[in-house]
Amino acid sequence: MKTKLTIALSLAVLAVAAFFVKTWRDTSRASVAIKENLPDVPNTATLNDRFGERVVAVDKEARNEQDLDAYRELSRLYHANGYMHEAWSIYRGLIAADPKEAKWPHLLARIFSGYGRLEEAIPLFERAIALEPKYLPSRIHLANSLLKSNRLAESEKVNEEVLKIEPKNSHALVGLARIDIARGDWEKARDRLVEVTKHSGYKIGSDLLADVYEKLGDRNSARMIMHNSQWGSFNDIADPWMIDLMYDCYDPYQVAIAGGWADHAGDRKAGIRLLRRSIFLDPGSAMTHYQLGNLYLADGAVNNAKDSFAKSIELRPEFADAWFGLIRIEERTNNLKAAAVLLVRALQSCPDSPSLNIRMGSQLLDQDRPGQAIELFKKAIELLPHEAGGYLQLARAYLKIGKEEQAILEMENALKAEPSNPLALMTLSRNSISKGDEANAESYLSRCVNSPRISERELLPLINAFRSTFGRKPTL
Amino acid sequence: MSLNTACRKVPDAFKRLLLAAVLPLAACAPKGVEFIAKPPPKAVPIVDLDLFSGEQLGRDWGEDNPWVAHIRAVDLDQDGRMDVIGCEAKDDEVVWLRQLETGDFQEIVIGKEMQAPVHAEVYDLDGDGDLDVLVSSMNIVFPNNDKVGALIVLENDGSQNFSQRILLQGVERVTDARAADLDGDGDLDLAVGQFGYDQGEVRWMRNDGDWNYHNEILLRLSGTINVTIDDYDGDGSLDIAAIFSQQWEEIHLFLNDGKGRFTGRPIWGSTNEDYAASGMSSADINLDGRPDLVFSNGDGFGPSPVPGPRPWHGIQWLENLGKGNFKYQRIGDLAGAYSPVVADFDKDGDMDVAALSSFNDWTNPESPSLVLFRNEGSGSFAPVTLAHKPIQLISIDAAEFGGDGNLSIVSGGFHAYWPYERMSRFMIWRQNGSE
Repeated sequence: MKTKLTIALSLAVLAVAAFFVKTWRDTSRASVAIKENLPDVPNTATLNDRFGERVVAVDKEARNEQDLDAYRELSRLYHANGYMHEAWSIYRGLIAADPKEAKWPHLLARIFSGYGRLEEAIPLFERAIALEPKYLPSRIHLANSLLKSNRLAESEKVNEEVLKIEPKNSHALVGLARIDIARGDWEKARDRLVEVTKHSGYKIGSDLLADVYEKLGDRNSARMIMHNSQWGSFNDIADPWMIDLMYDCYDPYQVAIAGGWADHAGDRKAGIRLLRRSIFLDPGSAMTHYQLGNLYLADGAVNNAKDSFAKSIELRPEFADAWFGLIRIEERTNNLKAAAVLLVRALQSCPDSPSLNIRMGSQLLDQDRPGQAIELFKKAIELLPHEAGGYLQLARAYLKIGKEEQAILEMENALKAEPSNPLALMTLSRNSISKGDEANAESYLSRCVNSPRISERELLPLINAFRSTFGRKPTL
Repeated sequence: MSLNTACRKVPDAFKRLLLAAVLPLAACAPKGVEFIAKPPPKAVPIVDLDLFSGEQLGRDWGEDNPWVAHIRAVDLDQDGRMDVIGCEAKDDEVVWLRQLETGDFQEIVIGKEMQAPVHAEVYDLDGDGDLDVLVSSMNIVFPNNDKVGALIVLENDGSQNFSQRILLQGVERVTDARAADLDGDGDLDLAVGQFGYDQGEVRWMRNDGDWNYHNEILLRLSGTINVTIDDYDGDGSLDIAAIFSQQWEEIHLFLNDGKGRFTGRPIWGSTNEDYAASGMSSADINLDGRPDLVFSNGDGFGPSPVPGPRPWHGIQWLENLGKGNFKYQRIGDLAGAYSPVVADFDKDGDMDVAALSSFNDWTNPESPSLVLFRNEGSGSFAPVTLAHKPIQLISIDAAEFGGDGNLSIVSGGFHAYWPYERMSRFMIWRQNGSE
């Protein structure tokens, strides 16, 4: 009995001792890690006032009290505000002091992989995944880091693990398709990318799919894909831990950029929140109010969008894009009279805006007032001679009053300004065919083929017209 | 509760006792952070506006904002005096700034209707003893997915009269082309980078003689900014490297077996889709006999209507470790960084890097526009701001212009964005103390 009691007591003492040792060891380790990895505060003279004050205060807490919470806060402040050396140092400390938290290795890995220090990023992503297996951005960034290091088999494995968690993850599928391409397996890449584009609504993977189709000799499918895709639609996987940091950023421009990226990655709510923060930091930025207006509009918050565009105009009355935002809202709600009134006001505020002159000219042309319209189109061309818009509208006006030759001349000018403009190319192709100018017709048609903005449906009648006029297929 | 407080609550004697009792537990301690490197010391920025003096070259631009997309220092007429050639993208012109005997420069348009030229290199492409100009043309500088790119040669008749010859057209927008004998047959072949937009390519063009080329695509990937040619794996044959921006942010190496058979792979990449690669050049930075790759990231475009700086913009190099292996090394931060040029500017025997800032916070008059990263040895560089204005430079080059052994910098300004002020077109920046 006594022996049993002694053993039980000994075990209890040992357990208590272990607990205290662990606590002591953890706190000591944290303390040492903080001390060793606490960077000097950057020169406060160069810091944004609000950021500087907060950094100095939090640094003091972390330094004097070796408070882990203060240290965590400091990491956010430095990383969010672009002080990468300081953030790097603190994350190094946090990984030691707070070893069960996946955020620290992930965020440091994002710094490393962002700079392309992939060898250093890879083990940190692996550590983050071990701690938080369900956080997919760590896995996608690990897969990308491995791919960019030419470690294809390892990257493949990581992407496949993502698909086990989320079977249609677009980023993992694109990663696998890139591996297929690197291995020369174009058919496999095509199949994956077809799935991705379908699943993502042509947002991700369509650029690669068009390349794959071209490589496989399927030029029509390549054109079709590029025709259906929105330019530059690719987005990276949304990384909530990174986005969340930006609520501690004091640079309104960087916050607005982060908001734009969050929206681009599919998190519109975060985009709106960040743009609102940017405006909180710099209420006088007409550009940010305009950006926010666009996001509200895309989100269906029409009244908020109106307010944002109006604020943008109040701050910068000569900002034509914001006027266009307001006009667009009225047009969407079929309130055409209000839109017309706004257009007049806009042009009064921005008489040198090429796009507003073109818009007003178009309106006048629709009202059968070609003389006045032509003047406005000419002014737009004078203001922006290297863009096609003014020439195209001027051509339309000349056509309306029966001056076909002048219209063709303006179409040619539009094409000089923008050599692949679809409307100009199709009009000039049609004109050359009807005039029996075989060489020019073939040349314009060939350029039509190289412009994926022209659909197959638009292209086909032109090719047929060429064939019936010249008795042969065009060489494209 | 602070850590110090927590530690103080445990008596020392008890701590020692417990430590002895459970010492073996310590052996199970989790792995530390030794595997994570400490951040390198931060460079202290220096401002020395007196090191170089800038002066405008060529004609005044009037009310038409300059769009000089590329500039190259070269003795085009081989008269022993360094000249400058430049690409004016909006005017569709290639311009020759010919240095006269007096040291003045005469502006001559050598290429008109050049389809938005954005890069020009000079070679004797047809082997007739004079220098031709190889021009990469995007046709439309701002985002466009159409296949409107062209590769054009301005063929020199020997008397500096240039006629246009199109080598490639109807392809993704072309951003860079270099010439070298890639298949060992004695003539100059071409490596071509096509940025495109969502689609792009790197190709090489085997010279079949009489201006005929056989095309071979090396990689289909959008966003090619620059291609460079050098013997990167030290096997005696010339390889190709290419840098890609857009969402890829990668550098690829295409190793040549000497006969024009290339094997490609990525040698560097960032997972930050906004890293914004903006330029690359090939140079032996550490003078170990192996060509390294120096590159910038600073393209300020993104989801904001106004292009601007990012904290990670800057200059870096891939140290060539031999046999096609490279190691990333950061040179320094520079918001909106573009156009890294490697040369021994201070004549101290090591290689420095000059670069410019195209997209910076131009509301701040102290934002650097032109920067020299002075090599301090041991792999560290000191950033020296040479100028705060003009702003929105996009291309520089360096060469000896005065015959005094001092390197000068030539720059081109690209003013497509607000603020339309502190502008320049072509400039030469001479080191003070030089003629």
